[in-house]
Amino acid sequence: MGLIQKDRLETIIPRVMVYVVLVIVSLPLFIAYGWLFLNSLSDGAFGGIIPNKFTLQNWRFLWSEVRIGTTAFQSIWPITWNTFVLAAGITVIEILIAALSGFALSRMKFAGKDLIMKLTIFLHAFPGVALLIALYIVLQKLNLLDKLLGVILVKVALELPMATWMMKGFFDGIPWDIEWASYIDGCNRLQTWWKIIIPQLKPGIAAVAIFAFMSGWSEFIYAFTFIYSPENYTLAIYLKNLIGDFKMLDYGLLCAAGLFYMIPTILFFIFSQKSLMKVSFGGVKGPN
Amino acid sequence: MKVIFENVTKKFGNFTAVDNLNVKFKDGEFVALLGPSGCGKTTTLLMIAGIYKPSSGKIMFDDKVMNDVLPKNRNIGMCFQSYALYPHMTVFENIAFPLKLKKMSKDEIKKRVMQAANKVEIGHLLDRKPGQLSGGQQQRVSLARALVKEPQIMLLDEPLSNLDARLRINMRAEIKKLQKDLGINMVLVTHDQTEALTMADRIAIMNNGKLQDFDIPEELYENPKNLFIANFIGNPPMNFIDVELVEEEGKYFVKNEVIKLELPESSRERFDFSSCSKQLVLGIRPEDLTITESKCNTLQAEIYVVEPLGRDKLVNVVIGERKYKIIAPPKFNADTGDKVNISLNFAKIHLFDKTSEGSIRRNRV
Repeated sequence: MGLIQKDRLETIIPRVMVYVVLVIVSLPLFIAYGWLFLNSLSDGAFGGIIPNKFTLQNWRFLWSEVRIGTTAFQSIWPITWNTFVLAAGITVIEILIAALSGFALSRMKFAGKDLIMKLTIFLHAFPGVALLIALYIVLQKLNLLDKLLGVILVKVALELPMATWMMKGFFDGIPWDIEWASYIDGCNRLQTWWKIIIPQLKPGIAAVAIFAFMSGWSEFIYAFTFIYSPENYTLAIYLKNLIGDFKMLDYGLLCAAGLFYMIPTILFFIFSQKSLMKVSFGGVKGPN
Repeated sequence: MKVIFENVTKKFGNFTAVDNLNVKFKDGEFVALLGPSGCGKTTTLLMIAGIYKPSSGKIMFDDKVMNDVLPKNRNIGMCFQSYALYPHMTVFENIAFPLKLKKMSKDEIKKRVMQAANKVEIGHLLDRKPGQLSGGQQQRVSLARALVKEPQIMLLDEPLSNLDARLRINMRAEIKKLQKDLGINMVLVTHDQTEALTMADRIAIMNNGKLQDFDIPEELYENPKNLFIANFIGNPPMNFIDVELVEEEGKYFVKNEVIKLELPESSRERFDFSSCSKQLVLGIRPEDLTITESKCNTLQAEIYVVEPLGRDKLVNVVIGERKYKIIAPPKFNADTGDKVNISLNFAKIHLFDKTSEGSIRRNRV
């Protein structure tokens, strides 16, 4: 074997190895989603695994009422709207608060700043599920039980520390010079924040928004606990109810509904990959 | 407009950035704040801008105390070292930004932006974003943005440090011309003594937060008040020799282990020998040393290396164990290791007290 061929092999083999490892790692995910997709278009399945005859019957929830056994499920569209309201509400409130609190933590000097920073991390580490009962009582007292707003507020409260830290990281990346220049050019603090800082923060806002929306869209435990009127259901509860009776379980329907639930998430990811990559914490810090 | 500092001190925690500054800039004056990094010059500039508040003391524009006036109400223009252009705005929007905040009419804004842009020759770049410009162009945009407000005072923080050498020399002259044309106050922060010497009417030289001297460039160069100024101003830097002052038979000598020089009669008028200590530092600029044949009252040295500079040659010599620099005519030739005699221009020597580092020159009347 010639020396050149040997060298060529030595560069090719590691590359092949990388691909082999990547394929092995991603195959289970790929197979799972593929299986989900095929089953949603199949009329029953051999052994519950291998797809059968093509049908659109499983997607019937999109255009007609669904009945399983004696239970009738209401149309999926208002439920989808509820889920959207929940996710969007969380996103908007979280962005608004995090953009202001991140600015304050990054740029201003005040007593107890370090303590606040540490406490927010501590809050983030606290398991939200442990608060379930306490939150139930709080929401009941506030008359927010069985309302989407209640779930939105709980979610925002629990996710805000993380969002604030992320925002602070993005604010830290903006040089002080630019901020100072704007003060000299005639801005007050709020104008600087709105006209100079926020426009440069678009990637950061996008990243926080994506995280917030995703977690709102897939929220289950708080929605399931705090909401009990069917007109306020979200997709996660709907899906849970589909599985409700194991004897009557329609796997094709479940696959289709699950896929429907995932579509916005997948689209979101495809369009926002670049912004997500920019998430970083800490970073540069100017003089105080 | 006059700018007056009265006992101004700025502290960050325990660190004193500017220590009891007392200085007065005249109306329409071009002042350079010169010093090594960390000497407090940028802090001083940012106090004029209103970004930092003095910890104590007063800053006044004419007779108005400015300590608590917000930056936006001070009518200043500022260029930052990083240029600090707004990356999401076009060049036009960048320059127009201060005017928009003043709520001027669209026509007026357009007219003024064009004027400012043409003054710094960037009229053809108005639609670009800062990211698409070269360093020199960005620097001009930041000048235009500062000028467009027609400020009473312009602040420049190391404006030329990110430009290449040729562009820097051009911009030096252009900024100076601009200042003379507009007749406004300009304050330039720089660590580059050439920049300060060439551009400013007067230079405030700072070290460790303290003002060392505030004077015209010629005076700082000819008669430095202390060792720091003597060392900092001038390129190549001044040569220093540690010496002892001795009086023998009515004549003054400076000497150490390897040299002994007689000071001429005239030096008694320039220096105050009566009250100074005996341990001195003799300073002499490279251009005030000459290589001669004479052995009378000269220094014996050995050539270390010769650097041709084009217009003249920079000769490095060794006396004892220390190295000194001499400016020699371009035709001078010597090899490493050659022995030479060096005579001093005694009218141009400087003597500093070794402990207080102050010049022992008599005050001029």
